[in-house]
Amino acid sequence: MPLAAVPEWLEFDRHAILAGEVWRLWTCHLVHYSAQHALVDLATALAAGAIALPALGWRRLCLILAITAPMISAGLLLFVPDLLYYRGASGMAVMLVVLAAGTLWPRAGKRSRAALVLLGIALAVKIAAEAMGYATGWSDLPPGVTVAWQAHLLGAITAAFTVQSLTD
Amino acid sequence: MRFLKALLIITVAVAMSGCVSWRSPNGAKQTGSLVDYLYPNAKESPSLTPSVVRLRPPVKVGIAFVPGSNWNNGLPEAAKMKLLERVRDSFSKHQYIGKIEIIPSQYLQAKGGFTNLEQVARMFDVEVVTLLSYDQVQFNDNNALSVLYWTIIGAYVIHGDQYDVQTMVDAAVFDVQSHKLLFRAPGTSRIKGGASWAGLTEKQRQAAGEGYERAVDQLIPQLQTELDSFRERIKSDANYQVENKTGYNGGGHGGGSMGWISLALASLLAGVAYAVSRRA
Repeated sequence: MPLAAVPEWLEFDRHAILAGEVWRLWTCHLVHYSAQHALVDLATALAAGAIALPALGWRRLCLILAITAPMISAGLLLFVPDLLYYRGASGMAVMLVVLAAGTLWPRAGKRSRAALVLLGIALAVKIAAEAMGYATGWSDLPPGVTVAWQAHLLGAITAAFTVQSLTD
Repeated sequence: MRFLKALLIITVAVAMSGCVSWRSPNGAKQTGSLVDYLYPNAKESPSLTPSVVRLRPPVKVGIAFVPGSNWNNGLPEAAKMKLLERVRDSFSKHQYIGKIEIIPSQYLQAKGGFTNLEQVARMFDVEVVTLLSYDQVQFNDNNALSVLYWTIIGAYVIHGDQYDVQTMVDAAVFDVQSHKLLFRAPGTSRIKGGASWAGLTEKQRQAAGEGYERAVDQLIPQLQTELDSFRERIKSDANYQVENKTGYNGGGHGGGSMGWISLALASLLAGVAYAVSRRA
């Protein structure tokens, strides 16, 4: 199999997943449309992961990643029927950013909490702008590929549930 | 005198029966035939050479009514526009469809064939044309109660006539270059009812409109289903070759892109993490 075909075997392909290629639920977060796309997504995910790591530990963090990755993909499969193909780690990156903020919140002071609230508002505005189609200006996606803002929303929701379950 | 009386009675009876028989109990037909338009005066079946249909998404689509002999008199312009717009909406939901042009009926010549279709496609710059055709047959017959029409009042109150309106609306999608039928979707309806002699025409007209609406309501979801199944079919059918136009990436592609703004958010988060670690 040529190397160039690997992303096609790993991306989110609605029909292939429904035909039984379930590994794509996990692997679609690992492949990207361009090097710049991969760089920005992975840099954000790594930064957020590094912040969440001390509070969670390696084992718990890996478990969270393994569970939330297919949850985001399954959400896209169920709620975004027009999305046929998807690549990118941004859903996971948003999940990690919200998760990291959740782990910081109990230890944060007043100013830090205000900054976290600001971060939450900025993230919500970003997702809303993407949903309304204003994201093309800052998107690093190639022409013909639209921002799957639903992945970001699903990432934020799964992280919120994860933080909730960790605090219970 | 007796003779005159008898003559008067016979004359009145004949005149009254004449009233009833003025309208023939048969029916009417309105049609715009796709076959008549594309294959006029065809005495032999059309010979299609096997060829590969090349589709270049986003595909430019034209939508038009097939011209018919009494077609333009049969259906109100508003109803035609409504159907054209609904079909356009069905197509516009798909990313692999580019521009959609509604082609006015006046541009299509009756029995124009593919030559006319190609001219129109060139004029409107479309690659695929959806031809809408319409066939409606109205039957009306008398039932046993129609004998009461002889009472004159009966002609206004007794439902001695029955009608049957059968409608078929069809959307056939053709690739202009290869002349190949890509797919088609039908919508049918049948409306039956009864009416008095005096009210039959109005009731039939209402039934014709209602029958058309029902057929269109059935056509639209069928068209969506056919569009979806066609999209799937061409993936594995060797008779179709799909080549994306420059700048088009296939549609339905989504990217999980954080964008450069996310790096600013990550920096803010890192700043908070630093502050929290110092506080601890």
